[in-house]
Amino acid sequence: MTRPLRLVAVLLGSLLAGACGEGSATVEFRSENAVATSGPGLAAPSVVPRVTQHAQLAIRHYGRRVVESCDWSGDTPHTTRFREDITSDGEGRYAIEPIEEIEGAIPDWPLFRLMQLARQGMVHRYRDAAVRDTMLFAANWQLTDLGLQSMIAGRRCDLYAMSRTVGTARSYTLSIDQETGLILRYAEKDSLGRLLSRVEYESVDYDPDLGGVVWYEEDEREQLDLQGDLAAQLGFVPLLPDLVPLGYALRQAQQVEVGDERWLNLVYSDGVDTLFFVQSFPPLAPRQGAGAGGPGDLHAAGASDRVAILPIGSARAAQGRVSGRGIIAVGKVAEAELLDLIESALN
Amino acid sequence: MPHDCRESRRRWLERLAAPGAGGFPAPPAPGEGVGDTCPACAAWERRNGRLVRALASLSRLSAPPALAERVFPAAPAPAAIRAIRALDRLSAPAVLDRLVTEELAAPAAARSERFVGNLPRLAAPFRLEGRVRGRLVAAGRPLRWAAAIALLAAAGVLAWAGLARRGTPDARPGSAFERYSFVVERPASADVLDPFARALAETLGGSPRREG
Amino acid sequence: MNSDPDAELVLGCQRKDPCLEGEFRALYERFKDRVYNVCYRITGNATDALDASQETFGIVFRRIGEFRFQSRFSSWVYRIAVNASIDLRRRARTRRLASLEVFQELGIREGTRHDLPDEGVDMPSEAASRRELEEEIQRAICRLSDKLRAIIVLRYIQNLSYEEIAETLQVSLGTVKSRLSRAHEALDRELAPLLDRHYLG
Repeated sequence: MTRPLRLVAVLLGSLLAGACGEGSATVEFRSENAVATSGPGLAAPSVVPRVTQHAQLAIRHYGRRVVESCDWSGDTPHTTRFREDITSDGEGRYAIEPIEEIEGAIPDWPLFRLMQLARQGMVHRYRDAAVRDTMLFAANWQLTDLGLQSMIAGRRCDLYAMSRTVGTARSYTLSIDQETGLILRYAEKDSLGRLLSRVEYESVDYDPDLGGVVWYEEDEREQLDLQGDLAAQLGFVPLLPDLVPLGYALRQAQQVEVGDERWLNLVYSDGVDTLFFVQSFPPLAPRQGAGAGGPGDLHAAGASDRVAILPIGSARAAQGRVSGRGIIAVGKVAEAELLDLIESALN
Repeated sequence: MPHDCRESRRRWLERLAAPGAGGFPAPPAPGEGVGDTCPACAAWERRNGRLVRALASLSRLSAPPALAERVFPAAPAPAAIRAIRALDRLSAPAVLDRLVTEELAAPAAARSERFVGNLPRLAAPFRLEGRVRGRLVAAGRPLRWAAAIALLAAAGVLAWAGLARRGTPDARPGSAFERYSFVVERPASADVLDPFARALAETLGGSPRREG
Repeated sequence: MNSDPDAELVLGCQRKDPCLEGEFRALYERFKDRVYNVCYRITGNATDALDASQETFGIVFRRIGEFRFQSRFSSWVYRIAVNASIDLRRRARTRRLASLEVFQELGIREGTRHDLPDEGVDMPSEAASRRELEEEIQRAICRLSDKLRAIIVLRYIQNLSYEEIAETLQVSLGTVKSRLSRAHEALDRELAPLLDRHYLG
């Protein structure tokens, strides 16, 4: 690096360090190698394998992290913040435990905590930023090396931006531990640049004592063979959407048992984000205990086909009853895309 | 520049690129091209002969090792040895299983037991209007007409009040212009969702939805 | 049978999930110098050349599955390299800035952004006259428009034929001839005095 550039970098680094608020990451410019200060550029392809979900699962660690999500559906954004502990043995076992809410933004913390504990499997599989399908990632996303470093939880990280190149714009900023490849911080933003979610490690230990950890036990889910005849495997003809949001492709079909009901869960992916299209097994049994005639009674037999749709954080959920089936569709897509997906399954 | 000169210079360049010109472009041989007949073009050919030689002799660079390092970075170093941290971990309380099972099995009942004093006020179900209309047609008696009208008015007031309170004009069923074969509703509360749907949505969306 | 000399490696890449080793590595070895030279001559400096080369191989890696041999594979790679280099030059003024998004993410106001001066490659002060000549030629190339610069580099640095250039840049043969002629006129104006000095000296 030439002296003038180094001086400017130092000056800029000082400004950044001074301007960062408490708890913010400190940005540093690489100072040893002029090449490395070159700024944003397409990330090396080899970075992609490091940020795959599989690689993330393979990193044994314990960490405490702050989880933040913003709901922009109201007049003013509503932010939820809480701390959680994550433990992974690097061999597939994990535990994710909410610890405390931050700033009291969660209406009922005890219930929220219980629900989060119950949803550990979903959180682990679907919530955090990661490449979940490399082929679809290559087709739909671009990973940019921002040429910056940050210190997260005392670890030096490289900063990358992961942005969608097709369909609905969406981007993630990733801080990846230089040594281990663990994503120590990510921030998700929508097409307007609004923060949707952020997860940041406050501490991380790559050699933790795993004694006493209560590992989460995965539910049994029967995976169906997508190459085979789904109808034959299920015993009924499933609703299969013909029109899926741009960039998404069907990646899994699984049977899920919730209470005494069986559901078919079709899992779509765009490489990073996931979209679910869930349908009940026919015949649809009337639910016990649900308030008949109330707004929650979307399963009531005899009701006309209808679908309720609403945004939840950065996702959108649709649920209803169509063609005699209960259906659920959830994804980080536009309302029209979700409704089109449902409609296309009926034709 | 006369048209002929432009054409002749192009032809001169093409001859340089012709198969058999060999490797890097060689300077044209003396007398080659149209230089013999046009002094300006002859001078141009001389200058461009030098130019081509100069361009062709520019150093061929080898890709620096840094490129391979960027495209094929080394595998991540093993994690640093760090002090073992004693984790004070507690087993999940026994009540957890019961609460979660309860939540999944009978969400409305379980929720109402725990939050009976904190339930949001809901707008009148939209199909109430349809049911009332249906009854009006079927019965046709004046007393029921009056009752139905009162009921309809009450439902309207409730619905209006609900919308005004929430300030969310989207919290109404889909209009007639919707192009779907099903009725689209846009409720303001995530309570309409099945716990499974809500779990999927809140896992992806990350935010427990504000109610009301 | 596919006559493209790179077909075997390309097909090998396409047959398996994205993998940086094996065939892709072999393709990298085959093309790294060619790509780097194109990028260096178009961007005009080693730093940007490295970025553009990296970007080129990144795109090749991501898109190789979509390559259908409608042109030579080498033409496809050159096209990516040319476009990546031109694109990088366009972003050159701000290329050392982190994206605004990141600054906002970190709570930095836009007003605190600082433009960093574009810097060239350090050159030894005792450079020989040949090195000086190379520098002057490179500067003259960099003053050409994107289109003319690309055609000069492909023609005289990569020694591509008109047909190969047309395939690479996806333009007609007539356009190649026309642009090359215009590039010669421009370089002739820029470099004639220098070449006079050099050849006389």
